[in-house]
Amino acid sequence: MIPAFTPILALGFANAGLLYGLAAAAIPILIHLLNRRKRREVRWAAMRFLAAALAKNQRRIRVEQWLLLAIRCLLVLMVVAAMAKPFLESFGNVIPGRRTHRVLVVDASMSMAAKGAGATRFERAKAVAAQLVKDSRRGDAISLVTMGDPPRVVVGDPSPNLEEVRREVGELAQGAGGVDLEATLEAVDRVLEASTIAQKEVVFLSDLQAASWRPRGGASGDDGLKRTLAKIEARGPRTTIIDLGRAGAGNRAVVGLSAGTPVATPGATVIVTALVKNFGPAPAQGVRVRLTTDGRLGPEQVVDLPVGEEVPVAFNQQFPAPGDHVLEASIEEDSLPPDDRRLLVAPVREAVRVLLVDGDFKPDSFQAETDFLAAALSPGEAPADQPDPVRVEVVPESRLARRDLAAYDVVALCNVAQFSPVEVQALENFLEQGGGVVVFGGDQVSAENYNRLLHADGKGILPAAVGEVVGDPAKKDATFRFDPKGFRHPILAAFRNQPDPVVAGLTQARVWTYHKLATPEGSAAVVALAFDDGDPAVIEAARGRGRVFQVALPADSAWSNWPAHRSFPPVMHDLIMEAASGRQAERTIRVGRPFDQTFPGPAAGADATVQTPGGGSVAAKLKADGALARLHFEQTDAAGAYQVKVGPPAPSELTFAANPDPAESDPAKLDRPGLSERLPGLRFVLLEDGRGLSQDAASVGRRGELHRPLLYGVLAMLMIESFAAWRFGRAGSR
Amino acid sequence: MENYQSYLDPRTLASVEGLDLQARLLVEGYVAGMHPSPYHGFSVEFAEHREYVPGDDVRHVDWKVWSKTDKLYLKQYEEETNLLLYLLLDTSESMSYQADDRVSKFKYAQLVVAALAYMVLQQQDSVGLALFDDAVRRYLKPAGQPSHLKEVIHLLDVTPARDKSDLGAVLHDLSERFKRRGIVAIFSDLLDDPTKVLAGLKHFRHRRHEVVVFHVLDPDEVDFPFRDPTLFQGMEGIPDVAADPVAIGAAYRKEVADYLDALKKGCRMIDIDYVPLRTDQPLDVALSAYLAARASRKR
Repeated sequence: MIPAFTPILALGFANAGLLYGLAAAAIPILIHLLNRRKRREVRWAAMRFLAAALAKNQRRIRVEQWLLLAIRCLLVLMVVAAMAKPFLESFGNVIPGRRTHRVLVVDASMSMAAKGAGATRFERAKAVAAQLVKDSRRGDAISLVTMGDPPRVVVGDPSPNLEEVRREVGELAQGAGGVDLEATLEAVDRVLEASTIAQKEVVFLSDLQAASWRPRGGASGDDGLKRTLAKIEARGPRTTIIDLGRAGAGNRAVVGLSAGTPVATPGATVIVTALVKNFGPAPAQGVRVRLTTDGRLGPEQVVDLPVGEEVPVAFNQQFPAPGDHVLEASIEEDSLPPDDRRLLVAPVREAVRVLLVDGDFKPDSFQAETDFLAAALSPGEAPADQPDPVRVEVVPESRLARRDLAAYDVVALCNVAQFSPVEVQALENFLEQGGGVVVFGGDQVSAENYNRLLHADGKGILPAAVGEVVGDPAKKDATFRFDPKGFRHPILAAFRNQPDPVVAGLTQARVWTYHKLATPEGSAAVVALAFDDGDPAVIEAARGRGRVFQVALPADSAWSNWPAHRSFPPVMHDLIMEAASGRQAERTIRVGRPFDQTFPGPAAGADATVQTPGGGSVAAKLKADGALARLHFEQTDAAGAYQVKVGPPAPSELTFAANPDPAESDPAKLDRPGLSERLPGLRFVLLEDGRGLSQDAASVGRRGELHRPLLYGVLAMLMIESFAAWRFGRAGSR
Repeated sequence: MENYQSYLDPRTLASVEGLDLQARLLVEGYVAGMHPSPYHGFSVEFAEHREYVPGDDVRHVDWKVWSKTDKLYLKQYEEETNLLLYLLLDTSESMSYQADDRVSKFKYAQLVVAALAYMVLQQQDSVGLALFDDAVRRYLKPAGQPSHLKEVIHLLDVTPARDKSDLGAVLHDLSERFKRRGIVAIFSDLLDDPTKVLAGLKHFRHRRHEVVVFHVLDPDEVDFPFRDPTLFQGMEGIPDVAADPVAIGAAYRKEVADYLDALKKGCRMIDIDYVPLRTDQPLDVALSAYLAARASRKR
């Protein structure tokens, strides 16, 4: 409610409590009275002169004394009044006493967790925010937004209930993510747009970390930012940025943690690599990097960290049992603790289960399409106590539709003539759940059926359309060789930097017939292996959460002698592992990003419980998504491991982990010009140095501040007092 | 050897026991500092009869004259033909004003009076002494014998009374009393109405006395150096006055200056020597002033 009656002059005080100090104005009077009482006594003879002088000057002296006393009292009054920080709420029409809509934007990114002087920056930001709320005038309304990725609008509609806003400020939680500057500013703009109060203020409380105050990247992101800033500026708020950071701070962080192999199986050695970075300013020696597995202390390595370099620290890790294992790499805690550890969830499969669908099933050994492949993947030579990491099952193509693909990690389609829409749907769902599909060619392949259902002009499973058959399998007159394309693809990683005889095992394989594969323009598919005439031999593409490999050759030796070469088993093994890697992908997400996981269709509607790293428990529900059930979980603001339990009808458990944004670890800080550059077109006031801010904060954005003029007045009064005392004294001593 | 000159300092001299000794030390100190002696060339006045005034020794009454004329006249002695000095000392309360590190106005005047008496008697001249406040309190008629000094010293050895001075009346009274012409030296702070004071002095001149006014003032009373708010307690029954010296100082100094000016001018008008004395001055100033006045009268 805006009062109907507006006083001509309305004053407010930021530190109204200090007004009791106005009583100090009595001090000069007391001194004056005490002086009178405490005067010395003299027996005096020459009274006639004294009496005459007094009689003539009594009046003047009295006036001068009163004048001096008045000046001194006024001086004290002005000093006290200035300390109480008065401000004009209204002064006729010059300064209208309007309500203010104040938008508090609190940086909740991970870098705000940095400690200094007993409190984290975030705690200081909260304290300042609480002070700002406390110092708001009656009638002001406040909104509360956190800077983050994504930003959160805590109090959207301008709330006049300051007590409630203060409570909300108190409940703000430190995030572990980065900042989406554009989204944050958009949120601020939305909040400003929703408000009907004419006078607006935006107060940012941030450490001004360079990584936080950055557009989303790319020129287009910058344009969006400029537009948002222009929109905010058009609403005419007073913008204040309060700097709570510290320039030149150092930090060490674990910025990456990854496993060397796409799929881990029990007993297999996995190289786990942690990336440790020292952001400066001084090189660090003897930093202990420790790997913890499922909470058990693991190996430790001591490394030296030069400034600004990422140092990889490799650990050999073996998992004894299948299941989800949480790996944690950590270094000693520094002033910014959240980035001193990093998690990796490694789902260890008992084995990678591969379904080979044979389009040309024959009982005789090495006559069927899949025999070479099955032998390559599962040679059956492993000792009994260490089961084969790959389990192969072979079915004729007629049984494909009846199989529940969810039981497998990879489905290899070998020379399958054609697919029904139901089968295609099953494969799509399988891919959606992170399964891998490997499609081999062959003489039975119906290019028309493949292109229509599987490729579907790039929208289907297959990354490439199946073209004409190159070469004549009967004559075997053409000879093509493999072009490994620099062994860049992971499936050829085993051949990198190997001696020539080993490499020859791949490059000397002879191919006489293949499918010409054509990827549509702009396709994201990768040619992993090519022929020497430039046509692709193996194409890899991501589909859904899974991966598809399309091979221009059949899996048997009908069109080439490759399956008989030594290079065939390792390439196929790595290819299958890569294809299976979709099963474990996205188990490690960035803080603040939603966690998506698909489950087999029957689980739709099931209740799920997510245990957060903070020990809390959040209920979720699996929703049907086509033929699948999907878990979409958004409350991933905290870094750490999350346990998901899915209840009946399809009980299952899994673990995923959320890690902070490595960019947030960089302590580089923006100064005023840097900030202006990052916020083009925004006019703002930057309050440097958070120290003693709770005092200053009271005056942030205040209009009609009076303490400064009052202090100038005090200065003037002091000079007048000195002059008057000198003048009167001189008159007395003349 | 004693350094007599140090006794020219009033404080040093005041620390010596005994007024007669003080007088002697002062004069010796003074003489020691002089080059040509001022004592030569004193002439002798011829003797005469003078009328008896109460207090005169009846032994000196000229009975022959009384038998012829039925009037009481005193015989003048041959040795009395010397110079006659009347010393008038103010003993009112105001003379007792004393700053911390100085002698009081009374003490200062007392020393000078004693020294002058000593000096004059040494020269075979005659000295009379009158102590007064609002009336003549003690009077010692002039005499020239060296033994007279003892009486003078004895009479001088008093302290100021708690009485006010009424200089005008006293001067009139005394000028009536001093029949023989001589030098009248008045030692007072003259804190009275200048016109009344001047009227009294005029009376002496009328009687053809030579008059030297030794105006004894404390430097405080002229310079008014106080800074702190002060309660001035009036002497001689004047009510107290509270004042801020800083505020009032200039006006006070102006009053004093006007007063001194009026006094000085008035004295000059009636041909009276005016000698301002400050209690922080060496005592020989007073002696020199007297001798200079005396010498000028000779001519």
